[in-house]
Amino acid sequence: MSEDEFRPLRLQNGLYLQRHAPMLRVAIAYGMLRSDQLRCLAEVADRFDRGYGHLTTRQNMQLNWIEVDQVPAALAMLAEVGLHGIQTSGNCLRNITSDAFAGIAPEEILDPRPYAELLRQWSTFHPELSFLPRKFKVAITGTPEDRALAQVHDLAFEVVDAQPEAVFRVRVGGGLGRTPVLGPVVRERLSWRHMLAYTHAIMRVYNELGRRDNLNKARIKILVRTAGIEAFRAMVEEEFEHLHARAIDRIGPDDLARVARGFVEPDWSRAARATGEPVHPVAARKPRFARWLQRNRHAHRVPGMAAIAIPVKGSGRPPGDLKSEEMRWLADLADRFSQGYLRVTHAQDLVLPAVPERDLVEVYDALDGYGLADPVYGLVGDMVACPGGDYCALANARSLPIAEEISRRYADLNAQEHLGPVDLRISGCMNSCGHHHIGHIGILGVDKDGSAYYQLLLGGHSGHGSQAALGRIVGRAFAEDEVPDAVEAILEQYLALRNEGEVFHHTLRRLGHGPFVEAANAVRRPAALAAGAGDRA
Amino acid sequence: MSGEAAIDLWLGRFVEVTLPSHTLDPAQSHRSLVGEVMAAPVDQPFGICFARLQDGRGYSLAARLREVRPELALHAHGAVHEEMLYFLRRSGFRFAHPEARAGSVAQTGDLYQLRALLHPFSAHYQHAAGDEPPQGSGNQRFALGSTRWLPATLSTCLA
Repeated sequence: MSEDEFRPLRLQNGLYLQRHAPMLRVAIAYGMLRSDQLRCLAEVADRFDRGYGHLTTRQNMQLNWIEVDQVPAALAMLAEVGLHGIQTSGNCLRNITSDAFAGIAPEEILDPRPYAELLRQWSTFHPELSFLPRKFKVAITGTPEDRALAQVHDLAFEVVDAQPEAVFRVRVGGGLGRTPVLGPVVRERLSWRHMLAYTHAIMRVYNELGRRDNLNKARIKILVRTAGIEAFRAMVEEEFEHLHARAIDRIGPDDLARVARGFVEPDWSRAARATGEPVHPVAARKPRFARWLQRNRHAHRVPGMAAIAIPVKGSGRPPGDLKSEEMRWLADLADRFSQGYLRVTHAQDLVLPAVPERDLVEVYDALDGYGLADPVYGLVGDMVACPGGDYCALANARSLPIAEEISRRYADLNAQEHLGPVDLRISGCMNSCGHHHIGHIGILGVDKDGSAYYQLLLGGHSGHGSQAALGRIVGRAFAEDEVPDAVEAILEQYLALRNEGEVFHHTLRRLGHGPFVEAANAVRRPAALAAGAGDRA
Repeated sequence: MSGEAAIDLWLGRFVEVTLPSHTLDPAQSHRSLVGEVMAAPVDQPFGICFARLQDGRGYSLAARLREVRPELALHAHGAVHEEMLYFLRRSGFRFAHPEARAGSVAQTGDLYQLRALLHPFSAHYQHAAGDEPPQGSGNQRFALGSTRWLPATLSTCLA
């Protein structure tokens, strides 16, 4: 088998060739993780890698130093706990992602996970979805707010109604990368019974008409844009009618019930049985605990329960990186306080989804003792970053040193708290694994005559808490050592100009880019200016 | 026309069979290809040529053709690798004409290996356009979290 033939097969099983070594990407289906699975990942990281793993922005875990000939043994171990690398890469329908708070968010209209599982099963080893023109990413969410980044996926299902049956809005052709697009709606209302057939129809149109002559124009967003959403919709609807008339991919309540049985609900009665200290008196005398509650505790649909975010961030830690001993410790913590359940977020963090409120003091003490209680969820310290040029063969620039320098500058929690919510996202190249287009502040590594430079983007939004938006590039690119200064200058400008009660993206929206671009440009050094670095891409 | 070595994907056997004189190019419009097939005699076999292993259009075309003409005998040829046999069978092909390769199952004639390639999993998650009835409605043997198997594509590639 030639390398050209082997490549798509290894990629479909999650095996990349990176800058220094092969990388194995392990699917964590819609971000749901059990403690035994996390322990297994730790074991695989120790036995076959270098003792750590990296949480990705699509809720997966990557192992960056695995040897190719050890991959079958690693996959065999992972399979014992229901983990695999299938369809985590390659030009196929990839791991389906969802809201990390699915099933527990109070505002949720519908738990999307059984529907995600229906799609996951159906799309696994489907011949028509396995050799597509380009990769294909699917997200599904059950809340009005977009925590699943639905609008920047190739295909997304957003719940509209739960009763009398689940109905989804369908978006197609969203994505980041070279051509960032918020996905247009291809169907306003689709019964869950038609999810598979409708997806099949979309995939068939894409498989047959997507470009295969130019890798940069092969994503479905290019097809949708070229055809126009109306024409694309007409083709999909025709194909859907064809499949529907033949009862292909028809699903019913029995299928949903079968899949739903696989989701074991935590024992919610533990909320009433927990006997730990009430949180309010402790919060009154421990400000750091109060701050942790405010930032890292999330409301839960079950009274007396909480969801706890664990930011996997901070100075000295590449965003999303977990050492094997930390994985084991977190697995034990999940067993002790969250019935063995964990979640992985799109922001490379973890969540304990089933913690009784009366256990929160103990959970905090444990996390604090282990150095994982920074109350930074949603703050600048909770930044997103891809592995960048330190690992990735595709990267133009390194992401991690930029993340580290900004983390170091904002290591003071008071400074972060003073800034309020800031969504900072860093990608080492145009492929946008760090989702830089949808950060309030985005940083993109670019190559300029063989040197790494960084473009800044402002005004993006992930869609959680506000309308999704794509950031716009701020002038010419910055040299590596200018980027942290530019980010700091932008944030200082925000502090100087914000009104009472405003957060960063509010101030930016009110004032426009002008004052922030001016602040960023003020940090440029003459040498970089003279070099004319980084014309706008 | 003389017979050539091929694989019967339905029966899991090595056979000699004539490559059909009518070959369909999946890069062409599926409307015209479906029209061509529907205009042909019912017992007319067709070949679908795969330009590259990475080009999946042949699977959609095969499935589409079988949906409108279930009795159609389809032959896969061109850049056909044995790792594709499972997908070919599932998308409705009857015969595969793999490229000649040293050490391939077609060369060794190992029936056990052939059947492992054709049936790498004990159950399927989706409708098949091939020889099997759909197993999607309450008939799937995989429950969530019980999927203890290895992806055959990788294990065979790395063996």
